[in-house]
Formats: sequence, C-alpha cells, structure tokens
Amino acid sequence: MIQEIVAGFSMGCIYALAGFGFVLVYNAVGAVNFAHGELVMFGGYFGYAFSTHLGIPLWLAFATSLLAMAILGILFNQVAYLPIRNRPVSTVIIASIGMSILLRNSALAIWGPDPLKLNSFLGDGAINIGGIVFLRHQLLIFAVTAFVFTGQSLFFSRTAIGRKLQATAQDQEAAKLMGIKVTRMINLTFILAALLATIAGFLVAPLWFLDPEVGLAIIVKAFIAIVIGGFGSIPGLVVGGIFLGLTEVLVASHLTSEYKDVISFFILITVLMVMPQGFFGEKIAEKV
Amino acid sequence: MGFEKKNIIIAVIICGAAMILPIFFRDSRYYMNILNFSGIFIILTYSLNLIHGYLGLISIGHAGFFAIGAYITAGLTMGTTLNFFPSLLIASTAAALAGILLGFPATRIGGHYFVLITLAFGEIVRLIILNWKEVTNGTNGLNNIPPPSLGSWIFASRFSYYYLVLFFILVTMLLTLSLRRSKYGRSMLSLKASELAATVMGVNPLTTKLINFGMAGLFAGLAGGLYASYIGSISPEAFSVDLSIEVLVMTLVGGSGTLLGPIIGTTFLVVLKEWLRFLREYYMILYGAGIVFVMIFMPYGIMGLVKRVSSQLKS
Amino acid sequence: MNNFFKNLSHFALVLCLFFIFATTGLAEVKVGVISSQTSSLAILGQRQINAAILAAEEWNEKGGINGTKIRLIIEDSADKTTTAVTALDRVLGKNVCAILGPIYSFQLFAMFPEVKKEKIPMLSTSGTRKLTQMDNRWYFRTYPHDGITKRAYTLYAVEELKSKKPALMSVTTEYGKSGHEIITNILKAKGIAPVAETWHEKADKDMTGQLMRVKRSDPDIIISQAHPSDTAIILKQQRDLGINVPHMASSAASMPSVHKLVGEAMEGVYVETVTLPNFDPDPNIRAWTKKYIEKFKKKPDSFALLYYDTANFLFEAIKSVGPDRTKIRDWLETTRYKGLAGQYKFDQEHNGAFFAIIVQYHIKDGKAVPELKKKYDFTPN
Repeated sequence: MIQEIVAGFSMGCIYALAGFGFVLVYNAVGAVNFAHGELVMFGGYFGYAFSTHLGIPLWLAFATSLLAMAILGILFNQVAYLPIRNRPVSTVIIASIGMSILLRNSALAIWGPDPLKLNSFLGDGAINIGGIVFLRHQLLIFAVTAFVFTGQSLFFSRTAIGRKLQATAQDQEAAKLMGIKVTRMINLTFILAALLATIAGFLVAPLWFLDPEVGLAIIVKAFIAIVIGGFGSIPGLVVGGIFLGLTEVLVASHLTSEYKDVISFFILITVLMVMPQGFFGEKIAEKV
Repeated sequence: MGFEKKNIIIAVIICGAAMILPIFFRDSRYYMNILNFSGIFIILTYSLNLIHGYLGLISIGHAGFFAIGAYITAGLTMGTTLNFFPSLLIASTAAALAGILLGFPATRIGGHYFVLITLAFGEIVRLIILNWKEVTNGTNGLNNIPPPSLGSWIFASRFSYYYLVLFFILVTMLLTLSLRRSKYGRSMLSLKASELAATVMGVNPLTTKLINFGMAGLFAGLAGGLYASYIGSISPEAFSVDLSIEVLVMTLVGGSGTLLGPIIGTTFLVVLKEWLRFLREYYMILYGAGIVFVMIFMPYGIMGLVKRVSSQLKS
Repeated sequence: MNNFFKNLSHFALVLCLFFIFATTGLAEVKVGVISSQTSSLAILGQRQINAAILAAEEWNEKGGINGTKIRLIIEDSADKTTTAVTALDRVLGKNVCAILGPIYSFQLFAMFPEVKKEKIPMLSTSGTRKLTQMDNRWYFRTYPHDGITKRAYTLYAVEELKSKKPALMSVTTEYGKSGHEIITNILKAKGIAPVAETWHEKADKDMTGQLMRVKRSDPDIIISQAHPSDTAIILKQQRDLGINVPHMASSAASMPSVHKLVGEAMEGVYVETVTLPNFDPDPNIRAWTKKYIEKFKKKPDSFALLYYDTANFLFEAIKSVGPDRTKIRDWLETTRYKGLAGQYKFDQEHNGAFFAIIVQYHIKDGKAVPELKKKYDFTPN
C-alpha cells in the first residue's frame, strides 16, 4: 500500500509540474495552450539531444535546453498566440491544437518514433527505507516540486517582476494604466512557461521515456489535475495532481485493472459533481 | 422576401451540385471514399456545431456518441433481423439519450470542468467497448458489417452510399435550421449571450440545454451508424480522443454556429490531410501548421470570413 | 530518290526502336506498400517500409524482375482505419499487382472487403490469429501467428522453467488481449491457473499498481505481453521495486530501442521472438543487418527482417508468373520459400510461418546480449 502511495505521489508531482506552465499562461492571458504537453516533451527531447548527441554533461545540457526552450517559447508566442490574442477563446484553443500536431510530428521527424531515454540527474539507483523502494529520481521529483511551488508563491508576491506578472494576470487594463508593459509581460509569461516545461521534461523523461506521443498523454493528465484541483489555482494543481496520481495507482493495484481507467474517471466525475469548482477553485457563479 | 428567395436559389444550386458531384468521381474509388468519409464526418461536425455554436461549450468526447451509434447499428444489423434503417434509428436514439445524460452536468458546471466531463465520457465509452469482449468483441472489433438495404436495393457501392449520406446530411441541415428558427433555438442563443438575462426572460436553461444535447447526440449517433455500415469493420481504436479533437477542429475551422460551417470545415480538413500525403513523413507537420494558419487568418472559421467579406461587400 | 527513301526508312526504324526501348524503360512492376509512416505505430511501420525499399533496390540493382524495374507505391496508413482505407485506395489507383500490408489487424480487417473485391494479393507480418480465419483467400500471413508465438513461450515457462504459479501482465490492445486468451487456454489445458492477471493501456507510464498486485500474489514467473514503451516500463519498474521473479516478455523486449531504455534490468529476462537479426550468427543475416544499418542508420527488428523476406517472396512470385494478381496468389499458395529468417509455406488458412525462439538476455559490457534457449518449429509438413 505504501509503495503505491509513493508512486502515486511521484506521479502526482509530475502532473503538477507539467501543468504548472499551462496554469501560468492561463492565469496571465486566459489562453488554454493545448500544446503545453508537447513543450514539456520538447524540454526532454532537447535534453536528450544535447546530452546524448553532443555528449555534454547533464547539467550543461539542462542549461542549454532552458535556452533552447526559452527561444521556442518566444517563437510559440509570436506565431501562435500574439496574432490571435484578441480572438475568441475557442480560436486560441484550436490554434494551440494545431501547434500540438505540428510539434508532435516535428519530434517524430527529428528524433524518430522509437522511445528514447533521458538520464536522471541522480542516476538510476534506488534507496530502500523500511521495505519501501524510493527511486533517487523520485526523491528529486519531490524536492523539485516542493521547491518550485513554494518558490513560485514567493516569486509572485515578493519580487517586483513577479508582482507585475501577477498584476497583468489579474487585470490587463489596470496593469497598463499602472505603466506595466503588458506585451512584455505576456512574452515573459510564455518564456517562464517554457522554462517550467523544461524542468518538467527533465523530470518526466527519465521515468516515461520520450516518444512523440508523450506530449498528448501529459496534457490530458495535467488537464485533469488542473480541473480537479480548481482551474487556475496553483495549490489546487498540486493537490489535484496528487489526487489523480493516487487514484490511478490505488485503483490499478486493488481493483480489476481491466476497467481501471473507467473507475478512475468515475471517481473524477463524482468529485466534480460534488465540488464543481474543484478542490480550490473559485466558486462558479450560481446558475439560476 | 428577396433575401429568402436568393437563399433558396443558392440552396437549390448547391443541392443540385451536390447531387451530380459524384458522377465526376464515379470511377475513382479514392475520391468517392474521400467524399463519403467527409459526408459522414460532416454529420458528426453538425453535432458538435450545435453544442459549441449554440451553447458555447467545448466537448472533446464526441467520439463517444459516434461509437455508440456505430456499435449499436452494427450490433443490430449483424445480430438481429433488423434492417439498417430501424437499427440506425435505435442507435441514434441511444446516442441522443447519452447526449441528454451528458447535458445534465452541463447545467451545473461549465467551461473547463465540462470539457473534462466530456473527456471522461468519451474515454469511458471507448474503454467499455475495448474491454466488454462478450458484447463488443473487444479489440477484434465487429467485422463484415452488412451494408444498408432498402427493400431489394443494397447500398453496396461507394457511389450509391454517397446519396445515402447526402440524404442524411440534408436531414441534419434541415433539423439544425428548424431548431435555429424555433423557440428553442432562440432560447439557446440567448442563453449563450447571457444566461442570467435569458433565465429572467423565462428561458428554462435545463430544457433548452437538454434538447440541444439530445439533438447533438442524435446527429453523432447517426454519423456513427453510417460510418459502421460504410467501412464494414469497426474497432475501439477508431473512437479515441484523437477523433474528438479532430471534430472540434473541423467545427471551428468551418465556423461554429453557422449552417454551412460544418460542411466547409470538414471537407477542407479531410481534403487537406489527403492532399498533403505527397509530402510523405512531413505532411502532418504541415497539417498542424495549416490549422494554426486558418485560425490566425480566419478566427471565426471559413464561414466567418465569408460572412465578413460578404457584409463588407454589401456596405 | 532511292537514297531519300533509304534514309527515311532507316530513320523510321531508329524511331521505332527508340519507342520500343523507351516504353520498356517506362514499364515497371508496381507493388503497393502500406504501413505506418506516422503516428505511434511508426516504430514498427517505418522499419518495415525500409525493409521493403531495401529488397526492391536489391532487385533493381540486378535489373529488376525479368528486366523490368520494381516501383514501390508507398502510402501511410497511420494509426486509423480511415487512413488505412484511403491509403489502400491510393495504392489500388496506381494499378499495383500486389500489396505489402500493415501489421495491425484493425486496419487489415477494414481493408479486407476491398482487397477481396479487387482480387489482389496482400501479405503482411501480423500475429493476430483471426486474420486468417476471415475467409479471405487473398490475404497471406508471413509471420507466426499468436497461437504459435504464445504457445512457444507458455510451453517454455511451464515445461522448461517448471512454472506452476504464473502471473500475467497484458496490454489492452488486440495484441495483448488475443495473446492473453491463448495463454490462459494453454495454461488451463495444463491444469494451471494464473495467480494474478493485470491489464494496462499501451500508453500507461506507471505500472507500480499492477506490479504490486503481482508481487502480492507471490508468482514464480511473470509472463507479460506489451508493446515497446510499456514493456520497457514494466521491466524497469519490476527491477526498481525489487521484485525478483523471472520474467518472460513478449517480442517487443527483443528490440534494441527497448534495451536502451531498460538498461541493467534486462539481465535474465526471457523473451519470445521470431528472429534476432542483430545477433543471429547466420552470415547472411549478419550481412543483411549490416546493410540495413548502413542504409537506414537504425537497427532492424524481426518485423523488418520478415517483411524483407515477404517482399522477396512476392518478387519471386512475380518473377515466376508475372504481375498477374490471380497467378501470384496461386503461386504463393503452392510454393515453399526459403527466406533469411526461415522457411515459409502457406497452410490452408494462409499462415506462412511457424517458427519461434526463446532467448534469455544477459548484460555483457553494458549491452544486452541474447542467449538462444530453445527453438520451436511448428511447421506442418
């Protein structure tokens, strides 16, 4: 049971990290970026390309990947968001679906269909504590998740740039009036999302391996975690992710796993019916 | 009055063109196939068009309705003495009921939460089909599904199937049109504009939404039944989230909430995908780029652009 | 005057010869190749397309079939039934005389009605048993079907490894489900019931739940069937969780790309497969593998090797009876062919290959090296 809980927590943290960039962008500009899963995947792919093909040490590959992803984030913003930022929500979503297809198939063309391995910073080993196996990589995931999520609340409330981003997210018009350069903030948000995607990619890839379809799997799980947690809420994201991770693992372990995904979905639907705004979401306006 | 007459003439011309179109492609099984697949997906797109266009909701679970229509039609035509048409009716009704079922949560929650429910719905349907081997034959799928027949006439050729599909497209269009002009149609649009105001004016959100969902389910189930009897072989792989996402893209590329949008959007994307095959491995990259492109230059879909251009021409 | 006519007739003769030469040059033997260039199925699909290209090029270097070059009409079937069917349309539209088809049964089932109607031979390296039970005389299977491969590894587990308490881990696709059925039937016939049975989706990334369930049931062997990614995850996580039970994996575990992902956890793993092109001592297979890697910069797998044999088998047929669909079918039905991987001979149902091998992997110098444990050959005489 405990082993499953460890796995569930670790999966949950991955979902939360993967979804973080997505939530940031959504909070800032109201845009749902369906291609965020592919961004996480590209973070991992860049890591693979730099560390395996260039043979550079992993931390350097990480740094270069961050740079590459920042550029990708800017390109993404310029090509697929800025031109349509004032359009209806659905348009932006469809454009992001188009980007998702484009990125997924680009990955296929560049790296081929075979699953690839990105090494973990802490290597492949495991630690045994009282009969429970903890992968060193899982410990890394827990640490990074804790760091990122406590860090982000400090970042947004204590730093100048963080507060500006926060202000832009809450009310673009008011922010503009206060002299904040909104377009620059939007660019920055996309870059930040891309950087977070890189971190998520480096953490996901050693466990999930890299193949062109991984992006889709990531975004679906992250989306579920986000909704369960309360759309737009960052603490909700972590709680939602962990809830999803635990549900999946415990169901697979203790119930007939042929229908495990059906059961997991039913659990999620029930949660939503009982708490339509998710765990931490804002209450939706009462329907009359 | 002149407005009406002009529209009717255009409609007649388009109908006429649609009727004689296949004659040019009769000899090419490939083009006939593209026409027929487009036609079936057009009906599926009309379904999502209702939900998104009139209620402003996004669904990524339409493969579920499609699957219900397909499997029930196939199951009945293969397992009982029922003919295609009654089977299709039963299957579409089942899908309509599923739609109404899905409509209930839609009245309590909206937006992203609803998207998740639709995802869950589509996946649950797919997973049940995949695992319930006794009934659905699981992954081996249902094969040798008989083609539709009317009396002694069998719709065995792609050419004849085209007309069957065209008939149902017309039925779908007429139903959509009459819904839009009806009291319920107006209710739906007013709900989309402002739920609070509409309700104050006496619109019952629950009934209106349920009617919308029921009809959407009906159309999707109809498309599913046509699909099963056309392709002759169905299995769970066809009814994945991928399909639901494609339908969403088709709806929005064509222009959501419009009468002709589904036809244009679906045909455009089906043809685009096939046309790009000459690029070998890279064609899907351009397909994705094509979608982004359309959204940038035609954010309200192709029909949106058409409307804008024609209104600019008028003024 | 005489000179003029003489010159004219010479000129006409040369012109005629030129046309005859030109049109024979233009004539080609067209063969369709339908497989997955894109989508998640491209892992196997792309390698097969490459194998067919290699075979055709080899023939063309020697002048083609009876002097006529082979032209492959390659179309992508991706991962849907609709794309497979439209790919078939495109290939048929180019008037091919035969088709090398995709692996996946759900695509093949959808293509069968048209294949029967068009009366065109289609060959593929698919394992799903049902494919040859559909009363389709135009389909030929050049791969041992599930009944054979699964029989081999279940028998090995029970007879050689003396298992009495097997745990089964299966994927929910056609491959996993039909295999699962066959395995449980064979076990039942031997009076053995699995102590645990788990399922997972092909795209699942965490098998902790399933593995813990298996661990609790205290099995003496784990028999798994899965696709490349999920196989890698199962093997790696089993090792990570410290579950020290022998593991008998399905053929995806013989793929070099899977070994790279699994690493040390491949030690001791048993795998059922059909051939091992990267390790077979047969000099012809070694030469082939080397050529494949040089040309495509990727290691081949057994599906690629058998597709290569299939292509050659087909080209031999065309060489003997010409590009005539019915004659090709008849020739295939009655001819034995010796390919690189083994012998092919079609039975009544059109199953053409009946061999399988069990290997065990050991890690040597950081690489997973197979050791042949047993060869099974169920070829009917």
